[in-house]
Amino acid sequence: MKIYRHILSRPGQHQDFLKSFLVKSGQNLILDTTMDFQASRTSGRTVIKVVVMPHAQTNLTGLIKIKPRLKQINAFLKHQVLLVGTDSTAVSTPKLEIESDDVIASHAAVISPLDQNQIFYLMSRGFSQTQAVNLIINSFLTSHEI
Amino acid sequence: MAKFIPAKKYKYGFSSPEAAVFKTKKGLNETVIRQISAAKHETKDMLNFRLNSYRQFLAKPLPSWGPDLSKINFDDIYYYLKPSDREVKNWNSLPSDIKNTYDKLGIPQAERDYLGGVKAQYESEVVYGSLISRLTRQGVIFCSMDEAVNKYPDLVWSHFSQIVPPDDNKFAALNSAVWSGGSFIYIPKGLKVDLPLQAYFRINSQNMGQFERTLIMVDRDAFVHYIEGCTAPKYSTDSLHAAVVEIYIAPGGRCRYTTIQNWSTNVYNLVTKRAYVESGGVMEWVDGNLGSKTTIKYPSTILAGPHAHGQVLSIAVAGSNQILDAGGKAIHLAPHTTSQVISKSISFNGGQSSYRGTVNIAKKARNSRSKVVCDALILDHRSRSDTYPVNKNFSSSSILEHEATVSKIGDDQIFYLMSRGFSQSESEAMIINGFIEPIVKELPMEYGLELNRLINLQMEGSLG
Repeated sequence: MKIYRHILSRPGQHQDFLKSFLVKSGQNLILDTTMDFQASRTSGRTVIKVVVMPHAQTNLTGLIKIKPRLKQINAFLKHQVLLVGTDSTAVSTPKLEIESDDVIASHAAVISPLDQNQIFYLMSRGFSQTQAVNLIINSFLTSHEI
Repeated sequence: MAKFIPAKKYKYGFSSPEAAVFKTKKGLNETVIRQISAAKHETKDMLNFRLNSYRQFLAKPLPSWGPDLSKINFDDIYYYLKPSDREVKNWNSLPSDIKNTYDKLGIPQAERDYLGGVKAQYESEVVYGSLISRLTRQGVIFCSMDEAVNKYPDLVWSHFSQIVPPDDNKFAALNSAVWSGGSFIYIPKGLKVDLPLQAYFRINSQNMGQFERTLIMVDRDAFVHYIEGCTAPKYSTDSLHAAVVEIYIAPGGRCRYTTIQNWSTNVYNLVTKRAYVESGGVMEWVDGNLGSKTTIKYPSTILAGPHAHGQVLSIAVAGSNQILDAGGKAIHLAPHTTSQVISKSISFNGGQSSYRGTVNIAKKARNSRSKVVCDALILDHRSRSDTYPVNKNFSSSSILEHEATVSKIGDDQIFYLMSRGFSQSESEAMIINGFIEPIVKELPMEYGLELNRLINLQMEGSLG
């Protein structure tokens, strides 16, 4: 179990938390992240990318917390899970607790299987299925938009 | 930003003198349950069901999550009240004080002309019922639950308490123990009911719990739109509303359940709503929550057959001292099932709104898809907006998406509209109406208008 807690207590502070994980067969990744906004004029992004291999699982919990009477907060939380093969499962709980009004706080979660169209495209270009899957997994894990 | 002043006077905050024929003592025990059952001339089966449920109620704890419910005093509530001796089919023969209450709400005419039939729930029992004879001839059954239990016991017991069993949660158990009133609807095979059926719920007697129980059964390839509108008179002590709604949709059937709820701001509204959808069936929940002190309500859909679809459209508007904990649930059990949850909430003046929801895609639900979108507006710094979604995907061929945003009304949007000549309050009203419009447009027109009016009323003083 991994727990990450970020506190933004300095005005003007910006925090990026971009992480990628590959969960191998038989493993279970339990991840809990919190971004706690305690000062005005702060912004933060949490982006968690997880590839779940066959017979593996993940359980992601994320929280954006904004205290009362803060101004100009921009908060974002994203869980992106790629399920590979059979019997891979994921649970995502992205939570928001917002007590100020001058904020933009959003979160997103996607749990989806490999895109068969992408595999088809790569295989029509001469890659084997394994190569195609590996390529997609690699680009998924390494492409954090900054 | 303009200040948001709450509506000082609750629009429907009047009450008629009580004229109950029979009322149980305050509080709940086995004797009260036996009295309720006896007053309704029920079978032994139903009495046993109530007593078992009551034991479940005692055994279950209050929910450990969500809004605080510890202030509810279960011993200070009347659990059964029968307003008049028997049901009346004719509007003119209704007792005059009950008629007055309805006249103040302005419902009588529209219902006869436009709506398929009306079951008006006044206090605990359905006192008024009219059903267009055409529907009856086609085999539609639309009557009070009490009537249905006696008249169609086999049909009722085939699904009654199967979808929401008494041991589901404390309030489902409470409802099962003391239920009275509510509607029973059966739509026969292949029949598409083109007019919405409507029921009107009111709480009148002070400290009156209202525990209606609704069961809707939609047979193969049939369709029904059921509308439940709620307004309640204002009282100073807390009232409790714990309803259970069960819906069964046979293969290919479709049901739309629309609720506009405007309980007065001292009502605890704790409702369990669940639909069980067979293959190719469609369930649509449209849910507008405006009033109440505390609302806990997550319309749920169990997608049990392949290609079933579930949808929840929900609006919550939380003003001063209100906690609205609303959302939706979708449980995917079969392959190729789809669901969508769209939730909009507005909190202002110290109000608290939460989205709480679950999407569960089981392992067998291959190639399923679910999307959840929650948008929240938070209008001042005293208010609060939370989102607690749980997204579970156990099927590696299914897609689950979730997104949520919390923000205030954009200054740039206000600026744009004001530069085009609108006043600030006009601009804000316009943005709020636009914000909820995706859900309002799904309502029948007069309900859409009513909802817009109710929201503007709640935010009176600031919105034009």
